[in-house]
Amino acid sequence: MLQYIRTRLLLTIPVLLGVSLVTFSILHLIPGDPARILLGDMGGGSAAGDISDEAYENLREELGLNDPYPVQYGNYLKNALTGDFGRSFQTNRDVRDSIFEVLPYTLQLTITGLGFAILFGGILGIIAALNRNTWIDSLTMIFSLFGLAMPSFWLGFILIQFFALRWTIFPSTGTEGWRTLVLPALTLGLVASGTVARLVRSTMLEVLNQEYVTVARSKGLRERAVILRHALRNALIPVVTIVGLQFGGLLSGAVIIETVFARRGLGRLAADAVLSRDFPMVQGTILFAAFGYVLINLLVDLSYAWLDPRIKYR
Amino acid sequence: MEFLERIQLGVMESRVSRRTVLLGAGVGMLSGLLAACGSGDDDDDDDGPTTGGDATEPAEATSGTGADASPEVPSGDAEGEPVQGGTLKFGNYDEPPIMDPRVSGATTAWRLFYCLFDPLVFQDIETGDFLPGLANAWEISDDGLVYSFDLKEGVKFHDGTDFNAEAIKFTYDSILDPELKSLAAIGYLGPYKETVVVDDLTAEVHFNDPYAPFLNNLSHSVLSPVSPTAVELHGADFGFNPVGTGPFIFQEWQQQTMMRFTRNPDYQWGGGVYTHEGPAHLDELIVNFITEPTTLMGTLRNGESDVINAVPAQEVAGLQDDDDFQIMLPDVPGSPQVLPMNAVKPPTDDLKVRQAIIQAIDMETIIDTMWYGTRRAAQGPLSSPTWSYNPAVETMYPYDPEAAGALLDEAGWTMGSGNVRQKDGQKLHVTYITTAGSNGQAGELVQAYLLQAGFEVDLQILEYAATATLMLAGEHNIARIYFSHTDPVVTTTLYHSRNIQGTNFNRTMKEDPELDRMLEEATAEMDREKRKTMYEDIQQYIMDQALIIPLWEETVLWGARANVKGMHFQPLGGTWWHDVWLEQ
Repeated sequence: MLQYIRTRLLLTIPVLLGVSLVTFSILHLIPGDPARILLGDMGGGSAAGDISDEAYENLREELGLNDPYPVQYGNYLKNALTGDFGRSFQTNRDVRDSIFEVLPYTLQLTITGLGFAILFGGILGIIAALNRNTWIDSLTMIFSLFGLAMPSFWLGFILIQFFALRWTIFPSTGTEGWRTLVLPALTLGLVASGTVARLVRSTMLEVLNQEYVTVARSKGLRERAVILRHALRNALIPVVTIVGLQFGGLLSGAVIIETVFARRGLGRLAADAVLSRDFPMVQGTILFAAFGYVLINLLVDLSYAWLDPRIKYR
Repeated sequence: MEFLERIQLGVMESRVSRRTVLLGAGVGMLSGLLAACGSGDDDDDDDGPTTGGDATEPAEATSGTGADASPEVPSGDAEGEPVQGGTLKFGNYDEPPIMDPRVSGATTAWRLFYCLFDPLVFQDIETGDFLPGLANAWEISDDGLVYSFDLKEGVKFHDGTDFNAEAIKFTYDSILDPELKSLAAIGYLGPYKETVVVDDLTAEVHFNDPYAPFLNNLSHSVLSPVSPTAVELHGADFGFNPVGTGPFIFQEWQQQTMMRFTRNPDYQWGGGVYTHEGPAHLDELIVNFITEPTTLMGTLRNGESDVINAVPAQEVAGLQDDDDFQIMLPDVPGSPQVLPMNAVKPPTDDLKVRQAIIQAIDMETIIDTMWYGTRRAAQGPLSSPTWSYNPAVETMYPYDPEAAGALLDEAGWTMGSGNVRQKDGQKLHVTYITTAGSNGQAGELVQAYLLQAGFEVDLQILEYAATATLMLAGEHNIARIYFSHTDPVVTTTLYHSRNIQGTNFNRTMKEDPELDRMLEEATAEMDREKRKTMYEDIQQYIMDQALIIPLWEETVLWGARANVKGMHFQPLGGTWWHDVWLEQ
């Protein structure tokens, strides 16, 4: 088991190298000169009084943009290996500090969102499966379709309209305290719950037709025990896989949610960095996200062994 | 269902959908990468950010004003006796990248710098006169090479150290250090040579060439003195631990969320434009960064914000009629939003074609449509509140499709098949490059008029970074630019030939020695009246050459709850927070 984990962790190194190379290449392939953007009229139409070409060239030099690409990439890798991800072009702040500062908020948001998704999706899925082909089934599936189809920013505005403006139950913006978390996490969770609900329904239906469920029933177990202890646990494996993968989706969903609800987070950091061609910040955020994603996948794989004792890792 | 309509309106008309879509695209790349290098999941996000919006474009650029709305600058008398104390929550549409005035190039930061730092001189926007700031008095040598300043006594930085001539020298010298990566202040120093410390309270700033705009530049927050002790202490992180002499003291900054300032109890040196002496009225100023316009508006309605600075256009009229709120609309001087035309690329290298383009567009109608009949259409290279504005440009190119057609006929472009004009078998084709958001909207409307006039228009609405690259390469016939400024010297930035390459703020792309000469002379002229005449000529010249299509003049849309008092405005549209107070 330990050996398995070690191998998987070692495998993340080539993955991260690949991610960094692809990110670097894309950043330099798409048009946009970070120095010109810094000096430009993007930040509010009022930058330089009259910047000389010399100042512009100095800026490029200071940002290291005059070096050949392989040298730039080599420098980046060398520093990254020592834990130095450079300083943001835009803010001149240490990239690693910036990321660590906002990371907890994105994790908070995505994990809570995931919790909501599992809760709503799970309940809906089970209800639908138990009432197969009835109007209840149709209704819950229509609801989950809504979840799948709803753009998260739209749902976010709806929730703000009701819960923050009409009845001021929760604040519409902010990051501090659990109350600021409710609306954004709900938005994220509701959108993701559609997928979970449909999946839970189909796997539950499959499992409910298995012989061991019939055996459990024939032993005279209460229906509750049959559903929760025998059927649900076995229906969970594919659900866990999808939920793990959804975590990546939620992470990108968080970008939109973070903007709508003015929350701090990794997604916003990354998106702003892409727009301003803040190379070190883009690289840093994407590497962290990639690492997180790889880690989640590993955890998902490990959870199979816990859910299904027949699965063993060596 | 009224709220639903409003939300749909918000989604369609504000930049909500675009920004969100764009952010999605940005992360699409991220998750796309993850999908590529991870475990091959079913991530089906769209492709990377090849197109999209100018998300960091200023929010005021997307907001309109009420029809009869004029800047409402309340006087202290009418509002009763100011009350000390209270915490004000300010919802700001954008977050400053860095709070070091020597470094930052973002207007949103400049407006906040005045809280923490004091300029040497202030400028009265009504009269254009300069008023004492940290300098009591100043003198300019006849040759325009030396500015000497008498400094106020007893001024202290927030860290307790003394403000003196040495601090000025330190601040300006450090701006020149390439390692600092100054984005704006370095330009505002002009042909700076050195600062000479005559004594503790007298400083002389020397220039290599005569430099007329310097007092104006000093009134901008970017040349405000910083605490040398604090800079040495924090080094590159000074921008996150700013220490100045201003009416508020920096307390904390939570990236992406908020910044908090508290009153500087020792502040006695204000002066200048401020309406009161002594420390600020507010105990505390909390600046929340809320970039999404719809959300920002919501925070004003439900009380999460006391003041916001980007009211969505469609909400302005409603707030004006509501006693719980107030709307204030300060104009922004400098260059308006304009569309520079490429004067070296066919067909816009022909003066007649450029003139025809301006006359073919009913700009009044476009601006009325976009801004709910509120924002003013621009007329020339300077917006009307700018000092030295030349009203003569207003009558030069009235909307006249027939005159436009005649000009194009004269230039040899005759109407061909499919309502596209032709010359020597060539179609009358223009490439129009702009950013998304309000500029994209304007693009679509302008395009409609040009199509009518017989142009074939390739309208490319892209994110800012992509447009900048194309415009530098001169791919455009029509581009866009907007620069706020309190001095007409902004015309040098936008029309001098040295700014075609490098910064590429001159997107007319044409090297014009005559225009260069006029701009250089006006920059060096120390006599204010003469200088005014020179800039009037420059505006006339630029419009004679039809180098730009003027779009609209910028206005900042401030909304506040009724109990917020004493708001009046900085030259570039920010609030003087020192004078603001909360009615209990």
